Amino acid sequence: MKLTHKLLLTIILGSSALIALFLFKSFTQTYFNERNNLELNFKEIETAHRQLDNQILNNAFFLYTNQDTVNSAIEQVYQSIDILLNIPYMQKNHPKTYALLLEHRRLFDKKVQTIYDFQTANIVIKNTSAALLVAEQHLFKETKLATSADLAVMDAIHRISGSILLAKNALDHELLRSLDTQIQILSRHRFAPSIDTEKIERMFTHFKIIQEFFPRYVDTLESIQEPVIIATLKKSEKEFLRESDHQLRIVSYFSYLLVFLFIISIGIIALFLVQTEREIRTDSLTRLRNRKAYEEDLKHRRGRVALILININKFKHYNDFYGVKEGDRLLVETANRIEIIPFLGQNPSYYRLGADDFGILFELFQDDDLYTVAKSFLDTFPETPILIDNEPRTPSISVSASELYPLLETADMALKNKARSNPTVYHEALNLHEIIAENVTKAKELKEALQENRVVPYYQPIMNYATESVTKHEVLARVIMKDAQVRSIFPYLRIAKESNLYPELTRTIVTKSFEVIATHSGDFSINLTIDDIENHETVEMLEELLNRYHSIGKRIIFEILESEAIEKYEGIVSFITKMRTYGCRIAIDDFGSGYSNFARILNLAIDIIKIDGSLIRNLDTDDKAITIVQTIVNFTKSSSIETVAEFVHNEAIAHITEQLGIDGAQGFYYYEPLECPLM
Amino acid sequence: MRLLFLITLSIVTLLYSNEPIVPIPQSISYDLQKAALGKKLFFDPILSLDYTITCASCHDFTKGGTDARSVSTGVYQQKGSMNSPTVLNSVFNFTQFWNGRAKNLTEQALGPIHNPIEMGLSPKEASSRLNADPFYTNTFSKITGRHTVSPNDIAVMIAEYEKTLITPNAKFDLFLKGKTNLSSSEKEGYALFKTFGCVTCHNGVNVGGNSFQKMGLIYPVARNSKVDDRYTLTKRESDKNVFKVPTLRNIALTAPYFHDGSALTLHDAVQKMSHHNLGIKPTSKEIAAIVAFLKTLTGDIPK
Repeated sequence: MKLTHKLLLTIILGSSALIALFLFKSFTQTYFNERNNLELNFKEIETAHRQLDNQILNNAFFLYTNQDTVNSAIEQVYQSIDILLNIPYMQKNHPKTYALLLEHRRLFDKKVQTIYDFQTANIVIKNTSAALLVAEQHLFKETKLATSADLAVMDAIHRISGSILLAKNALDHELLRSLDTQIQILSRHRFAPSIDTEKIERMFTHFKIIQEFFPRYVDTLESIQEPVIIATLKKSEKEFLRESDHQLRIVSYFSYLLVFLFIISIGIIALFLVQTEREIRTDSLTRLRNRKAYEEDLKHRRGRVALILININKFKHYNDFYGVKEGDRLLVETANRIEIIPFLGQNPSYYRLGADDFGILFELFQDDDLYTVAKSFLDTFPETPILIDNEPRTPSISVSASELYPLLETADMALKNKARSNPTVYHEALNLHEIIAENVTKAKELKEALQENRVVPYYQPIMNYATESVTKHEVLARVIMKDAQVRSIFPYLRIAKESNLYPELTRTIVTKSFEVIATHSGDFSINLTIDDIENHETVEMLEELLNRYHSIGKRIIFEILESEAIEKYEGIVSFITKMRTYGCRIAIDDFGSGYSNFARILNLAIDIIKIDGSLIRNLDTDDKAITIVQTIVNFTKSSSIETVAEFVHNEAIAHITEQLGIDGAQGFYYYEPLECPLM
Repeated sequence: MRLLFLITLSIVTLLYSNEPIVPIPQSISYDLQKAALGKKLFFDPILSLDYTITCASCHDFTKGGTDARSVSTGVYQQKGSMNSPTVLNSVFNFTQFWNGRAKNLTEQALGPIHNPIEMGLSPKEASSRLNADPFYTNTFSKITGRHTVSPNDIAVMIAEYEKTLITPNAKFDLFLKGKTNLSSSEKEGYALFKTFGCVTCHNGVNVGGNSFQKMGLIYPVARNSKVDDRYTLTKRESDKNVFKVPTLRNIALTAPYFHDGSALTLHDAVQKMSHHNLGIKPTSKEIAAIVAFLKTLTGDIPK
C-alpha cells in the first residue's frame, strides 16, 4: 500500500473515531439531560400530588380555609403532567410511558371530580358540626322549663352531639350509623309546649344532614387518598426508566463500537509503523536486511561476533553482459542461496551491504575458528548450481571474514586486499591504515622521483639463440632512491595508476629511453599498458618521438600484456595499426598467463610473443609447462612469430628454452637490467 | 399565563394566610393585543344572530358585570333560565358557568354566543361573520398569523380581555392589607360571616367561585328542572340543585341574587342563605351587619 493511502486510511479511521466520539458525547449528553429532565418532571408531578393531598387534609381539618389553594394545587398537578405530555420526543421515544401518563391524567380527572365532591361534603360537615356546637349552648338555656322526659331527651341529644363530633374527627362511619335509630326515636319526642322546639328541630336537621353527608365525606376523602393514582404515576415513571435504559443500551453499544474503532485505528497505525520500520531495514530487491539494519543489529550482538563478507566476482561484467534486469535476478538468487545454505556460525543474520556485497553477522563459540566457518561457506556455496532460466549461473564469489571491530571495515579491507586468498580472514597485517600509509609514502616517493628526475630507464639484454648474441633490450623503469639505491618500479605501478602519475611515468621512461635508443643500436622493447594506449597525449608524444628520431621506429617493439590485449582488443588494434606505419613491432607480454584465445591474438598480427615467466620458471621441473611452451612455440613458428622466454634464471632453463626452439631469452642467467644498453 | 396567575395567587394566599379571604391583585399579566381585540368583540353585536346582543348586554360593568335582571334576555327577546353571573373577576373562578361546565374562560366564552336563547350564533357562523369583516380578519391575522378566524380564536381573544376585568382596591382588600379600617358594623359583619359558616363556602380571592355547593343544603329549595345545575352534567341525584358557589365580589352591585335571581336584595339573600344552607336564623341586626360587610367587597369597576 502506498504511503498516501496508508495516511488516508489512518486519517479516515482517526476522524471516524473522532466523529464517533463527538456523536457519543452529544448523544450521551442529550440522553442524560433528557433523562434527568424527565425524571425531574416526574418528581414534580409527585410533589404536586403531595401538596394537593396536604392541602385537602388541611381543608378538612381547619374550619376557616381558602379553597383557592386546593384549586391551584389541582392546577399545579395538571401543569406538571402536561409539561411531560407536551414534550415532543416523549410520545415518540417513550410511547408506553406516554400512554401510562395519559392514563394517569385520566385518573386524576376523576380524582378532581372527587375533590369537588369532597369540598362540597367537607363544607357541609364543617358547618353542621359548628352549628351543632352553637346549638348545644341554646339547648341548655331551655332546661329550666323542661319535664324530666324532656331532660332525658335533651341529655340524649347532648350525648349524640358529642358522639357525632367524635365520629367526625375519627372518620368513624359505624359510630355515626349506630346513632341512627336513637335519633329516629328522639326526633319523635314531643317536648313540653313551653319549650321552644325550633332550635331542637334545627339540631335534628343538622343530625340528618350529617348522617346524609358523612358517608360521602368519608368516601370521597378515602377515594382522594386512593394510592392507585400515584401508582399509575410510579408505573409510568418506571416504564420511562425502562425505556430510557433501553436507549442507554444503544448508547453502550455505541461506545463499544467507538472503542472497537479506536483499537482498530491504533492497530492499523501500529501495523503501518511496524511495516515501515521493517521496510526501512529491508533491502527492497533481495528482501535481506540492509546496511541500516546491520548497524543496529550489531549494537545488540554480544559475545564473539563476526562478519562474513561475500562479493560476487566481476558482477559488473555480468551486469554489462546480461543487463541490469538479469543482474538483479542473480543478486536475488545469490541472496536466497546465501540465506539457505548450512552455516556453521551461531545466530546468523543476513544482509545486503552493497551492490554485490552480502554480509552474514553471527556469533562464534569460544573454540570456533573463523576461517573454518568462512571456508565452509565458500565451499558450500557452489555445491548446488544456481539456475536462472535453467541455465547454471552460479557466480564465483570472494569471501572475507573478520571478528575485529569495526567489523564491516575490516572485512572489507580483507576482501579488497590485493594479495588476498579466498577466503581471507582479516588480521592486523591487512590493516588498511598501514596500507594507506604505505601507499601515501610510495606515491610521495614516486612523485618526488619524477620531479627530481630520478626515474630512469634500465635495459635488460635479450639473447638471440640463433646468433648467440644480444640483439634486443627490454626497457624497464627504475627508481633511484635518495640514497642512490636503485629500485624496481614494480611496487610503484599500482600507486602510479591510482594517483594519476602513470602517464607521466610512461612519458619519462619513453622520452629518456628514446634518447638512449637513438645513440645505440639494436632493438628495444618498451612496455605499454592499456592506460598508455588509451591516453591520447601519450600516443601523440610517441608519434612525435618516432618522427623526431628518424627511422627509429624499426628498432622499437611495444610490449602489451596478454590480458589487456584480449580485454581491450578494439582499442589495441587501432594503436597497432598506427604504430606499424612507423615500422614498430608488437610483442605480447606474459603470454600464457591467462587463457588466451590464440586465434584472436593472431588476428592482431603481432610480431613477438614473450612467454610468461610462470611457465618458463618451472620448465626444469614441470613437464606440463614444457608441453604448453612447446605448443606455443609450435603455433608461433607456423605464424612466423618470434618467441622470447622470460625469467630464464639458470642454465637448465636456458638449455630447455633453446631446445624447445624459442628464438630468444632474457633473465638473470644472462643479464640483469643494466643502466646502459650493451650496444 | 394561568400558571403565573396561580403563582401570584398562591403568594397572595401565603401573605394573607391568616384570613380565608385574600385581596384581588392590583393587576395580572395579559396579552395587550389579544385583550384589545377581545374588548372589541366583547362589545360587538356582530356575534349575535340578530345583531342586537353583545357580551356586554348581559355583563354590564355599571351593573357589576351583570344585567340586573333575574334572568337574562337573549336574541329576539327570549328569556333565559339563569341569572347572569358577573364577568368581573371571573378569571379567579375555578370553573365557569353556574354549574362549572367550562374549565376556563376560553371554554366559557363561546357558550353564550352559541346558546340559541342567548346570542344564537353557531361557531361556524360566528367565524364566517368575522372572516367577512376586513377589520377582524386583519387584526386576527396579525395575532394568530393565520388568514382566517376560527371559533377558538374568538374565545381566546374574549377570554384574554376578561382577564383584565378585575376589581382591586375594595375597602375590604385595603383593610386586609392594613391600609384602611372597617366600621364597627362592617367588622361585626365579617366576624359573623366567619362564625356563621358563610366563609366555609365564600372564601379565597373571589370570596366564592372555588367550590360547588348545594342550594338548600339544610332546608331544601324547590328545583326548577329548566335550571342548569350540576345534575345536568353528572346525572347524579346528589348533584341536583348543586351550583358553583358564586363570588361575593361587588355583590352590592349585582342584584338580583342566586342562580335564578330569586333574591332581590342583599338582606333577602343573606337571610335565605342562612336558613337554607346554614340552618340558622340570624337576627335582622346580624343580617344588616353582614350586608354592611358585603358592601365593602365592591372594588374599582373597569370602564
